[in-house]
Amino acid sequence: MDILKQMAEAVIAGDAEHCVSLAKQAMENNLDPVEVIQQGFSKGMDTVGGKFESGEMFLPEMMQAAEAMKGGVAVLKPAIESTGSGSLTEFGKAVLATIQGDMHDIGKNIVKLLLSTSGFEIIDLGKDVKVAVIIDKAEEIHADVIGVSALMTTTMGYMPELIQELQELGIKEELPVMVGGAPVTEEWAKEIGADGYAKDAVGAVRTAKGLAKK
Amino acid sequence: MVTFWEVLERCGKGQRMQESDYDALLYKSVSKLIEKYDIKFDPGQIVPDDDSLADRAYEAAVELFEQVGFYCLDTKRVVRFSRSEIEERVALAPDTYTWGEGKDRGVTYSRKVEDLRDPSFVASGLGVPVPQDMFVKVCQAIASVPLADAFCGVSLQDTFRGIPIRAGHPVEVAAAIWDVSKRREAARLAGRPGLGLYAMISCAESTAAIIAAAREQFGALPADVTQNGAIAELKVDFARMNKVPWQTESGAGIAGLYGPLMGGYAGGPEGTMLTQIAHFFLGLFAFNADYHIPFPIDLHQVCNSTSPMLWLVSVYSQALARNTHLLNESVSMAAAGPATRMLFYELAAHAVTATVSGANLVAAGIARDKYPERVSTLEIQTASEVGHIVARMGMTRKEANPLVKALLSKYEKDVPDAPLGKKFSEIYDMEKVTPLPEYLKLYESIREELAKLGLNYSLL
Ligand code: B1M
Repeated sequence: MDILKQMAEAVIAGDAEHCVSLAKQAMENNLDPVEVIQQGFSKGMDTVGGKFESGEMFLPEMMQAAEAMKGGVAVLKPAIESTGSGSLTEFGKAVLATIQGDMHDIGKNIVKLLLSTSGFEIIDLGKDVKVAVIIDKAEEIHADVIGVSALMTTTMGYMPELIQELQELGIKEELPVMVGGAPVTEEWAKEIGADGYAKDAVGAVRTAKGLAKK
Repeated sequence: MVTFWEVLERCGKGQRMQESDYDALLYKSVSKLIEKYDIKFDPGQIVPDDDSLADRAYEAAVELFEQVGFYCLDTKRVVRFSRSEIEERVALAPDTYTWGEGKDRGVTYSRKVEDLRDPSFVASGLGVPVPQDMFVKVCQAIASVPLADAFCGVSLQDTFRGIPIRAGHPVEVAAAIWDVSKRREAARLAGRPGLGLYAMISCAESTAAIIAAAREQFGALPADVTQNGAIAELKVDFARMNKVPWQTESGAGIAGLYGPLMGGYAGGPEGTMLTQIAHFFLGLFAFNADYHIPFPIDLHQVCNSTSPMLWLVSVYSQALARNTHLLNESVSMAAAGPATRMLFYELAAHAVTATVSGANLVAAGIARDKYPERVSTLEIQTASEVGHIVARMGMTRKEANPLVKALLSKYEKDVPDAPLGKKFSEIYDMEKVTPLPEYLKLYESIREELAKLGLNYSLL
């Protein structure tokens, strides 16, 4: 089996040690580290995402796979940085939070997991996070995208507040907002002026990439 | 007995760890325990009749709770209890609760596996949002479900006095007061003024809103119940625990609410089943819960009507019924929406499974429990009837298993693309607050179908 396939398999198995040793082997063989990530580890993570969605894998296994991938990627990091051949977090920084008053965070955590293995640096503010805290953090670190999750009709009302606040502060253009969560719909997201919406975690990766690239 | 005050002290003293490390600890512990106790989901035995499986599940859950306790989000500490502390707390928990008053009183009590006594039944819209102008009518329809021992309405959608209802906002308090008074009005209009509320408020959850609204002057009855939700999995915080001193000293009923997600932090059906039982212990220690409202769901399908989920419901219920007298008010969560055959089948399957396994019934979360106005009554009524018939027939787990499988074969493949069904206003005469003829016809035809499957409707 070629090494890229082995890397994908090691991620699927959540085998951190094997991911590290394969990454070292790739370096010894002078393989392009960016390609190794994209064609090896990330392919494995794509499979894991699919298996999770279809119920064949559970959240902790997906978390373990993500950790294993991160272990391997850490080995490749110096090479990427020294050659300037690309960035591990090519899509930049995403600030994530479950909105004020809302303790439902599993959906947001799944989104976080997939974004963190898809070229984003994640700043996870947790659950029940005030609008002002989200904005302050996003401004402070010059986030490329803000992602907020709401599960209740009584908390999704804080999403338009967040967007209005960004508008009033004149920073809406720099800080695109992606919204999601069970009661949030695409139409509503448009209505409140959100820049992006995703129905599920796989869609969130697509949407976030689109927003961060703008 | 470890008191609530002792628990609070432990919240400040337990082992400190990050939340993500606690999630990992839980998975590690459940994975080991399901192996140690040889617990395995068997798709052929949705309602297993293996007492030893139920007892092993209980033992494993006690050991799990000894190992992981619960996690306090405010202090980032793991709060643990010894086996003898758990056993003592369980032994001292209530075995009955009386809802409501006068002739509308309803009692829930601890049931045994294959108990011949009727399950208690709560008719519920489970927090599905509806607009203000429909609120009383929907609650009235729910309170009218004949076999209901208690009820819960729906959730107020969007705005109150034109202001969006938001958690933690002053309008949440105002909406909560309105909510309680309108639910009581709905019970009156249903001709059951004393029918108890099994969960007083659902659009509002903050302590301020609950304490403000739970007053007799607004229509709350003394035994109406307020609920405290645990955060998945096995987590609590002070924002939820801070209701407890008020609940305890005012004598308000306390329900612990737990919705572990299968596929989530506890893994598959086996681990999530153990975690479900452990949540009952959490409810006793962290919330002083009088009774328990478990609503395990499949994380992807947001329902508990699939084979692994019904197995989970059966085994955790049997484990508790055989080893404790805790009050288990099992919530059915369906994928399909109102006035679809599938919804009737899903709720019937849950009612059979839970009743023979020793649980009481709460029905239902409908259409994955999230779409505005996707709430209905005749399916709920069917669940109550099925539960009563199954108990009165003396149905055994062995007899229940093929029946549940026959029901599953009618809908399980459709769960991922379950029909959304109709809105309440499409199936009800909104003037008379009665089901429309088409909808009644559907209910009648389902009754016939269930009778053909062996349910003896003459026992009602
Ligand atoms: C940034 O970009 C993005 C993009 C995509 C994004 C995204 C962000 N965020 C999510 N996505 C998307 O990707 C994810 C993966 O595919 C998906 O995420 P989801 O989060 O949708 O999906 C999860 C993977 C699985 N789904 C879930 O986790 C939610 C399921 C339901 C049943 C649910 C659960 C499990 C829970 N609950 Co609660 N709960 C309900 C839910 C009903 C429902 N259908 O949603 C809902 C949301 N709850 C409700 C209520 C009322 C409450 N709950 C409460 C508590 C809980 C539990 C803690 C017990 C548990 C939460 C577990 C947890 N830590 O998350 C309380 C609130 C606590 C609080 N202040 O937040 C309490 C108030 C109950 C009470 N009285 O105590 C209802 C809200 C009603 C309303 N007004 O809208 C509710 C709709 C159920 C109902 N009908 O009653 C997508 O939406």
